[in-house]
Amino acid sequence: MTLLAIDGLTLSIGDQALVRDLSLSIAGGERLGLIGESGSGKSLTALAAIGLLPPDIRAEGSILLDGRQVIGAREEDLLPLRGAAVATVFQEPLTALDPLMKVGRQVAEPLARRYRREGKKLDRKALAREVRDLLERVSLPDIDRIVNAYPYEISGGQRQRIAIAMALACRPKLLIADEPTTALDVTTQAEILDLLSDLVRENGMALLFISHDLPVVARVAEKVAVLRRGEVVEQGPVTSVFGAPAHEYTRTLVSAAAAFDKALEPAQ
Amino acid sequence: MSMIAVEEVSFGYSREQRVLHDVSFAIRSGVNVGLVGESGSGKSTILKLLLGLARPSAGKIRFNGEALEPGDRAFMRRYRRAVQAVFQDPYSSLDPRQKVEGIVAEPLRALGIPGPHRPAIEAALHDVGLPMDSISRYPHEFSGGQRQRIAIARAIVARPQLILADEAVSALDLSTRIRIVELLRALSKTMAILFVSHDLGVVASLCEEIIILERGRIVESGKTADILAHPQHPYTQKLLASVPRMPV
Repeated sequence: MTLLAIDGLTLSIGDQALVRDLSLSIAGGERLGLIGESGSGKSLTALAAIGLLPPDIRAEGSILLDGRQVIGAREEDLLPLRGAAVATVFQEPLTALDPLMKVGRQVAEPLARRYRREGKKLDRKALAREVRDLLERVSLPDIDRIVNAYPYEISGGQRQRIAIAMALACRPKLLIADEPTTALDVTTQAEILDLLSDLVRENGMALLFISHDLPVVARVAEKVAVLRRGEVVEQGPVTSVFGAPAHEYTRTLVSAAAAFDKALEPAQ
Repeated sequence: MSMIAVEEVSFGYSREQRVLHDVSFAIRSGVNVGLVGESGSGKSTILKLLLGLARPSAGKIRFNGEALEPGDRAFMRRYRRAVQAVFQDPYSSLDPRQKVEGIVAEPLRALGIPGPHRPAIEAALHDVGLPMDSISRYPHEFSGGQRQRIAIARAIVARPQLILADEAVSALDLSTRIRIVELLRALSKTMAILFVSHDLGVVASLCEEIIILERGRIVESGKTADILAHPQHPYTQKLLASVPRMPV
């Protein structure tokens, strides 16, 4: 079943189009990478998909999220979709977390919300246990300390793990990750990418992974769409788009990425 | 003799906490060196010391055999003429109220190099591939990649022997990044670059030698080709294994 179907999406501010006639779809369990450079409209597309566009941006076309039209929908009709149909992990984990709330409580919030949604009640003890389970699933060490820590007291990688735990707590059908590893060190990035891939597969979640970094996308996605100045220039399976890019722009990106890759190969 | 010799340098912002431990390396003229490390490894601190913005808590930095002495104005004038910097963010490193001409001329003025400066400015713009009419425009009229070219023009206008490049391509898009790396590679025929970055692919494509830093210590250094082929230290191995690659 198609989980997210974007059809002929145009986003504009005044008379300037920021995204033009964009179409893409993600089926349940599918992992799509959306690639683009700065200003290509990739984050805007993600915001449109969850109905969080800034008010001055006009949207035309159709976005069906879990069968429901997002464009033109009222806020109260979108609320039930957030969490149940989709959850998002953003780039900068420090600004995505509440600086004044202990991280354990931040993870508990979406968890309690999901239980209410499912019509179940959870006492405090059970909730605390579930929070610890989640933190374990995102491979956080020293959980006793982290549950009671504030965001500034833990590392960037640990913060991003918390953000992922919060998204998982919703048990969404689709996870949107917008440059989730760009702010992280390369060794931490590798760990977070592996973690995301594993979790998405284990839970049968679909993934919309937004990034400017081709090899990073290749590591987590099976399909890819290449965005340039608001237009999709090419989409298809990762192996064919990266292996035999059809559009000139994709060729430029692929050859640049391959050049840096090749520099790392030891000379024969 | 090395152009720059960093000799057993340690540094701490307080007495208890050292952020650099016994760091030694050399930069020879004409050889690009990559300084690689993750956040907190001490790369920026090393740059600060090399720019003369801080003094080592122990150890010495020498420039052509002479000790780097930030208080010695005559020395620093010679040093700054020979060693220039390019920073990460092309949006914050250019004065928004000055035209490109004034920005690129800055080192010439600051170093008291007698004018007219116009020929040197034009030559620098030519070397970085910017059109001549850039000279009378403001930074906001340029894209990120072009702004980084302006910053590079400023760094090379006084024809230095060494450029300290601090994550100089990290903020750029991939298609722009590869062009700026190519530009730096072309420029490095006449000067050396100390390229500080977390991005191993960029460093490997630009630098003949590489230094791997972890938590304030050099864990491995040598020829880039050797280290890529046979990384010795577990941290270097982990770093190399972590770099995502294109599917084959």
